[in-house]
Amino acid sequence: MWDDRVNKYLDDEDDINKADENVKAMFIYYKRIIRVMDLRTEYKPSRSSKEQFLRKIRRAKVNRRLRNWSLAVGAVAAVLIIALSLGGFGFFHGKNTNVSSVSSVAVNEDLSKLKDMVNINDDVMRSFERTADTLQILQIVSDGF
Amino acid sequence: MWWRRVKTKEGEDEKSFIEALKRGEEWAYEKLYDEYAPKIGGIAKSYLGYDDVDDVVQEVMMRIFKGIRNFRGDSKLSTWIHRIAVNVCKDALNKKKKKKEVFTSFVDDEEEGYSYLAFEDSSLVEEAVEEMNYSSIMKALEKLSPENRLLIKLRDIDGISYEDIAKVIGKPVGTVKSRLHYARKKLKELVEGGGRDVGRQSEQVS
Repeated sequence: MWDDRVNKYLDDEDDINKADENVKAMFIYYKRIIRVMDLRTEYKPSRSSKEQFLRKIRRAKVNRRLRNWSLAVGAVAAVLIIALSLGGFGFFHGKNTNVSSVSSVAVNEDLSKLKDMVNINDDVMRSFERTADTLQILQIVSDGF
Repeated sequence: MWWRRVKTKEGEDEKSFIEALKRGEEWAYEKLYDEYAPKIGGIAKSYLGYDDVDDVVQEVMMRIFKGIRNFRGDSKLSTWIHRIAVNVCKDALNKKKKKKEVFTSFVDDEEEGYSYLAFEDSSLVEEAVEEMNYSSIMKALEKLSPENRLLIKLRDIDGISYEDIAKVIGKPVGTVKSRLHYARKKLKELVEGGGRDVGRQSEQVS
């Protein structure tokens, strides 16, 4: 029969030397069973098994790197596709490049409105004003005829 | 890097070892394999009751590689690895059961030529089986449930604390203690009964 007191000696809660003879005998008996089990379940991995594992690791690392790269490339491609489909090339050049509306402003409207429509620097603006003056003179002359 | 290797060998703590594993450094995985493969294999042999556990060890190692990035360090690395090993063993046993394959039992191994002579230090075995019937122990181990074998392996052979075993198998410490006490009693009864479940018979009679 199993004596439950053996558990506390097996768990090192008490010194086995202080136990009575029956408990001590049972303790030794159990320890021998455990020794056999220990030897029976001993596992020594082979060199080839270790090499196999390291090969798998190397392959997995390469696959992981490739997956990350393809994800990054895919993300960039997706952003480009979305950008092009939303705004075409205008996405990169601003929205107010409609030539007809700009020219009609240049001819018919106040030039100050042009600045609101497109971002242009002062030199360009001055040459625009000179062109507009010339066009107005031409218009007056043509109206006279 | 060689300098990292030297640094680690000179006493780098577990944390930096885990970081090296997370970075996927090969020396860290070599070290991991050298240190843990024998333990994992031992657990697998205890739980599954057969010798060909290379596949199980490989599977555990690959799960460590895949899961180490999510390891937050809430428990010890060894506890985490033991938990993975137990889960893989459970999966392997379930797969085997589904396939309805015949297990190579402890006793069959002996009959097929796998005896304690295969161990390197046979004198130790001779000493251990002195006054005992080796075959009875093998039959008893075979009869014992995988869970009971696992508990005995973790506590009485590997010397893992009750707290860590509780984390490994996901049960409270009290449950682990009472189950282990039962497993020890059962193992001794099975050995004394020559592998027959005398405990159950006597319980039924009484």
